[in-house]
Amino acid sequence: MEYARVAAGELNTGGIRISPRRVRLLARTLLAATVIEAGNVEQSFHTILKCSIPHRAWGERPAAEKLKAAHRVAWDLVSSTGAEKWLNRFHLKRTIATKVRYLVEFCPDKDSGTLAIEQLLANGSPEQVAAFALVVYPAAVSGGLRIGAEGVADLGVIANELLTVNGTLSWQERLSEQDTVHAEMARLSEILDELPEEGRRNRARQLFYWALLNDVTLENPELLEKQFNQAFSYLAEKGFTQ
Amino acid sequence: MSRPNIPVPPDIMHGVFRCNTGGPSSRSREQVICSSLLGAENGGIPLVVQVALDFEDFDPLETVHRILERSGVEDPQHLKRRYPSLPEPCICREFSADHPLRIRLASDEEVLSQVLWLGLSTRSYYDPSRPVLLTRASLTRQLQYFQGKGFYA
Repeated sequence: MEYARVAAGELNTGGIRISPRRVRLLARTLLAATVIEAGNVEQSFHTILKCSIPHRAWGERPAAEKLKAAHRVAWDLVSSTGAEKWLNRFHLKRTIATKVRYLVEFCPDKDSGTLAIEQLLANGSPEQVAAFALVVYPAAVSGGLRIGAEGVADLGVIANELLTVNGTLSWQERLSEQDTVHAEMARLSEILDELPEEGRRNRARQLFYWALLNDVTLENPELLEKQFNQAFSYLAEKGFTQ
Repeated sequence: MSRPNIPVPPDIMHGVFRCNTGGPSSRSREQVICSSLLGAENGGIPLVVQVALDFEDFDPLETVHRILERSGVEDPQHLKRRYPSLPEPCICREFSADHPLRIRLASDEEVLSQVLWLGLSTRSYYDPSRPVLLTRASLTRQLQYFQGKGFYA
């Protein structure tokens, strides 16, 4: 079941959408293969996944490498155990809030926590890495998370860029216009103005200013702020307070 | 680029463009952005303490070792037992102190309590569980200490 769920999630992320009904069908076929074929079923799982994609029926050929990648991720997850399984699951969590929750509640030890942080910092999108580092770093510094000293230090490198932002934003203004503001600044300011609480606004401002000064275009700043705030609220509820 | 019926000016021929590009005239605008959560009131991280020593022309390391010797502290690690320090890690930020503690005028006790803070800190992180490391770089840092847990209050 977990293989089918994870593979479907990865395929959907890669633009190959399959319905819940087909995922259930895939799970039943995988179960049958496991019963019939004793021993290593990895190759069979890959074949079944490839054959379960209906896109060929309407003349669309799904990319083989996407199928292979989805199989690899799902297979690594179901075949791994202990800390390795936790690590795989951590990376499969899509939002900052779910990653933070999973780190706080289920991280088996400091080494796994450090490895998860290192891999996230190396492979995550810039805005996700920045938001994650900003929300987690103060708790990590306080020793409240299962993250080793190296992980805390690496989080600190990113988080310190966000805790204090300092720079100059530049843009072109037509001679016929006056007092314009940077287009991205105008978009982000609208979002900030709608936030209900001053503390939340200040935290989000920091994230947005960092993005502006580092030329990181936020595709969906509302969603990023919402997820950032969910992670923040969770840590506050958990007792990372004075 | 040349066109068959239009004479091309010699400066363009030689790679210098002096003609109007046709784009709208514009001016450059700039906005300075300066914002910090460290020490900020709402949603920020509260300031705990700030530490800065002024060694003037004296060598920091030699001076501190001399003070340790004079105070009967054999090992810098013993400073942990002798002086109070915050028991939990903090976020640090370098700053420029208006009035750093002048070694020449301060008492040994005052200096050593600040040496302990600096010896337990890197540029961005204070950890009371690590050994006290005294280097020229660590002793000459001017640091502000912020309590990470306060961020979630």
